[in-house]
Amino acid sequence: MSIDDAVANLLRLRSALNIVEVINHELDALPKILVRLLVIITSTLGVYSLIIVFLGVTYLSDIQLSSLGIVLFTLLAAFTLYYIVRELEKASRVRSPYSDWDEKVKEGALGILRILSELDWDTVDYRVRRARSLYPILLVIEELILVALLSLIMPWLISLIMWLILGIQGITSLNIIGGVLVSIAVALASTWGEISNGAKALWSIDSLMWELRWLYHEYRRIQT
Amino acid sequence: MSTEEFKPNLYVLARIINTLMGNGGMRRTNLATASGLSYDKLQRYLDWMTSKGLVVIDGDGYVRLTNDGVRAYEELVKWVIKYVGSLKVGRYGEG
Repeated sequence: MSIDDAVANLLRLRSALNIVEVINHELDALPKILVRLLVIITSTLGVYSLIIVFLGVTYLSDIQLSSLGIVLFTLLAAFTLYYIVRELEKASRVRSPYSDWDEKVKEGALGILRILSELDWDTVDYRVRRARSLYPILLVIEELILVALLSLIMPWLISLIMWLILGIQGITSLNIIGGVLVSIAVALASTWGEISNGAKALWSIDSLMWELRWLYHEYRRIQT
Repeated sequence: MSTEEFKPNLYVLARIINTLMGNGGMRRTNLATASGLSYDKLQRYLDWMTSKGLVVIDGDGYVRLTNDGVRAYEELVKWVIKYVGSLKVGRYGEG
């Protein structure tokens, strides 16, 4: 084992901590995203209700009202999904707090000691624990987004197929239920690799926590 | 701050020793400049290092590294290689 191995290990540790940072930033963004969405959805539904109350009864027919409703709800659902994906993606673009490690490790053992002595161990431990406990929430949200997105398209697709093959027109509740079930199956099948990577990442973060605690313990020991 | 309560930052300690290893005996002001420390901070470290026998300050005010000082630096490097080198971080980057 040489100083080069130690440097390589430290840089791998940094990659792991960068992943932890991305997860934490996405988790930080979640409450903000949810509050904004709640405001947008409530406002849109409020406007739709006002349209029904003030214009619907007098000027619009039932068909016009329900068509407006379908368009509005589809747009709202599409926007909601797009917004969540965009905001999570934005939150994942984090400037690594460990980007200066490349420069520091050039000093060899001295640089590694510098990194270890400047590391805020308590904060790192907290962020690693937080990422480990809440990462499943992010995985579930990402899966739900895909299911919801597919559920917007699938019932129409199934209706089209039913019409082309069996000549049955219109969207029935069976088409909608079938569409959602197919969406879940397609989402799971297409993201199985990511789910498995997510599980591996969770396991890795768990091990990372113990490795960091062990290193910190040894660091404190040599310091005294 | 008494030397009993003082817990040195290992990086600062290693930097002082490393500077002394590269330059031999040095005056405190030069050592402070070369190791990038304020004079007061360096003095605190030198007090602690003297009490542990890592450096000696001669009558002319020159700070010199002792054999224990050199050994302490080597121990620190060995520690880095042993503990940081054996971190099991192989799979983390893939998540």
